[in-house]
Amino acid sequence: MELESVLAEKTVECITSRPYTSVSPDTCLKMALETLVELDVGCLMIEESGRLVGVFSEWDVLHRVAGNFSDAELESVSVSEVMSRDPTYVYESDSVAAVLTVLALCGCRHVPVLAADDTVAGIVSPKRLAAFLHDEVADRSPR
Amino acid sequence: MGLYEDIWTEPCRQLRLRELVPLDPTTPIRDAIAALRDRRLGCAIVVDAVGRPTGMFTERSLTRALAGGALSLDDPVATCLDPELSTVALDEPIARMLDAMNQRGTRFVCIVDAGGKAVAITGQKGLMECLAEYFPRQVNVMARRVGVDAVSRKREGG
Repeated sequence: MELESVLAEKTVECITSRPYTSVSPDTCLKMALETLVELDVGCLMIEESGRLVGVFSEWDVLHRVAGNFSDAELESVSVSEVMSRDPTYVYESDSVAAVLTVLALCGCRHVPVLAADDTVAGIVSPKRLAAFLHDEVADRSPR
Repeated sequence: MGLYEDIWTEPCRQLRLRELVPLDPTTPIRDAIAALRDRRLGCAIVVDAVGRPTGMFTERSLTRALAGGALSLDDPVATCLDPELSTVALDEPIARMLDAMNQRGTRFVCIVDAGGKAVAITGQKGLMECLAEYFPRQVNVMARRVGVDAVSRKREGG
């Protein structure tokens, strides 16, 4: 099967999107930073009552946090104050091609995945996507 | 040719490459951050005297340093680099870049010329833009869903 067909037919569920890490909006910045590092992930989903309300990623650390908060503020300011609100997401039933185009259009590196009932189901990370694409491409020789 | 063939045969120079932000290793972290914020980028490259890449300063290395609690923005950027530096030559196939990203778990790849001099940055976004060109109908559908213009794309990051 052509790669274009594979990417158009396989769904997001074929890209591992679990486990994922979420924290509540009132989590302090210091805890959010430590969670990113300890779990070796690049993005946290901010969840409130099972609903996605934002994401907090290493991009936010670079562009909104570093140098803007004292050590004391890192422990008192909540992640909701600097998170990216209303993040772009995909559904589990969307195609891999849909994820690729969302990433190309929005320029984000992580895409939250929602279930049909709009609850958080996972996240597509750069590492997971690269592994998926690598597996699809690497074993096939040019024709 | 199809996508498989193109990934194996098209060189990285065909990707939409990002501006290189070259840094001297003594550049203060504060200035490195400012340079990336100005350009809306997530990665800068530390280069030697002749422009060869020697290290990568990314949002990830910064996050790790900040979480560690001992970050001084006046410290040289050389103290805050990623453990991995992925480089791919301009004329190597796109598959080589995908391989580097997968093996090293990096989002950014430094593109070098034939002499090994750093010339640009690419990574996940560059690869996604390349792949998305094979799905023009999907691009239009998703652009409407996420509310962006299919031509003018949003910032990198996230």
